[in-house]
Amino acid sequence: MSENSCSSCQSCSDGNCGDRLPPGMLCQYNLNQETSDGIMVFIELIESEGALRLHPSVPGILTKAREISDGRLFGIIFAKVDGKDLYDEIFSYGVDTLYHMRNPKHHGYSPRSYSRSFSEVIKRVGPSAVLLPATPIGRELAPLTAALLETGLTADCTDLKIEGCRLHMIRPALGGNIIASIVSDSYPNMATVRPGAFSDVKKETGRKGTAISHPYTIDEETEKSTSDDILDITESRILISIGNGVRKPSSVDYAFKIAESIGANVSCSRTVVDKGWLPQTRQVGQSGKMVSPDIYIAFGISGSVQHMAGVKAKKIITVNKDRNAPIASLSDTVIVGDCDQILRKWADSLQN
Amino acid sequence: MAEINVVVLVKQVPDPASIKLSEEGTLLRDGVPSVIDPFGKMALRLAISLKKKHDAHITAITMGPMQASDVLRKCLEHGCDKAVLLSDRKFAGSDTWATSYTLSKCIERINPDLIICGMQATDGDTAQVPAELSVLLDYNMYSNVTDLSDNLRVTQAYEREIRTSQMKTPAVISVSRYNGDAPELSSMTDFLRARSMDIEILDAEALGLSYDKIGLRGSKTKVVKTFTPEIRKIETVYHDGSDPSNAVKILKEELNE
Repeated sequence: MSENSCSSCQSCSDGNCGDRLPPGMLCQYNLNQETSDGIMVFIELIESEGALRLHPSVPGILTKAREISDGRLFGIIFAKVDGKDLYDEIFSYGVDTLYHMRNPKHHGYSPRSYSRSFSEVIKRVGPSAVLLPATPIGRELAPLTAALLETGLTADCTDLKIEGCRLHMIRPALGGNIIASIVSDSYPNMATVRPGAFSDVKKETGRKGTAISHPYTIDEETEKSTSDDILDITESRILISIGNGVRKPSSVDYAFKIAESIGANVSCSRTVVDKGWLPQTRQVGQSGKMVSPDIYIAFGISGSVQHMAGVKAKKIITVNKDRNAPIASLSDTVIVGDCDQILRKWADSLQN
Repeated sequence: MAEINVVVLVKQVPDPASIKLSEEGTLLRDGVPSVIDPFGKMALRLAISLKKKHDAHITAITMGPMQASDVLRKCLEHGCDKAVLLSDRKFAGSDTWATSYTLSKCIERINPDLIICGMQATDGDTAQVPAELSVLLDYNMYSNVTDLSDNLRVTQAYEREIRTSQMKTPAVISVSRYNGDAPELSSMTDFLRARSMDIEILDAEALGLSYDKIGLRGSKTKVVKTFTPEIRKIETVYHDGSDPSNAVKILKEELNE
């Protein structure tokens, strides 16, 4: 052990383990300090209208990772050659080293191939923490990768903190009634992060980084067809959400008309999916999606625990016949009235 | 008609429809009945639907306290052929890794072609066990499954795309939505048969598990503290919306603020 070892943990040489992530590892296990530092983030890409872009949750996660890590920030993308177009943007959010996983036959996400190559890169880089967005892809890829690495994984975190040399992964439990702070004894610490949990984005245009092109093996083939319902409710700043209190199917059409004019999207509660009025991709709540828009306009939504567990809005506006519905006390504004009539009136007012 | 050996994993959770909150916003669990987790129920229905076209042998497995045998009894009533309860106080405090490990050791003995489970359980919401299990057993993983056809074509709904592919066994599939027409209610024969069937109960010793790999000790993650969420203090403003035109005016003002 070198003489200038940190007095608190006797293992890290620079003496300020409190600032590195998570030096707890060094304190406890004295692993190879050369390689074990920094955070690696899986940068999910989406293809829309023929162009490749970052999943909207990625900039916030990278910004947070940069903030809590004193070490390097690694990114990993799986893309064809057009992934290069995204390098500058990725570096601007603080990534130092980007692994660009390439294969001429690349055709999008495949669980087995991705998890195998991702875990190999993690083994090679040796980051102390690995983060993925808690999207359907991230929530499948993360446990596959974690199991290959035989490391622990915390799902759907809403916050990350460094406390006493350790990464605390914070997530709601029991439908959001309790918040649990979780640590992992195994490395790398792995977590998926709820989209929208980190909305602050720090961008430094012109920042430089290193990109490493790395081949990966594809060992499975799936046919895929793209869904029509392409606009994702988790990406909308305003949501018009339909619940059981909306009685007429025509009101759903009005909601779409209004949404189009104000730049919103239409979401719903579970009962509306069960009625077959809207697909499950639009369902908000515990068995649907977690959304965090600026404004959530709830039409005829009573506000069950399961539904509200999926809503983290800056402002909630409720339209409901019942001023005592559970959602009312959670709302900024409550308009007591008939949902169908009001939706119709609103849609009509757009034409004039 | 090939025989398929199927394992369906279910979990016992407090009935979500009966969950009530106290005035402080904490969960009131007393007197809340236990049910099969909603996603587990979809998994069960999907498993049972395989019986129509295939010679499927279905084993239902759950891990939990002794009273979790109630949900296994339900599985038998719905037509499962066998039920196994993994119950041991040493399993308490398992994280997803320790849970997956324990389940894998039990499933290894059954060596099924197909493991069907719900995407996630409503009490934990992690959605991690199916994928971890698939790696531990070296099975193919299909998550976000919405349908499995008679000729075993599997449909998956990701955020922006629907995928269909020919399922390669052995596989784990986790169901996110299933509206298939499997019977909601058990037939009288199944019901009566189920009442006389035994539920196999296995503990850590019976599975030959070493104690440092299960329960709290075998877990890789630990809850270090819990706290109640900060409740957003809101001064709710109420408006009379009995006149729709006025209501629309208020809505537009709110949006422009």
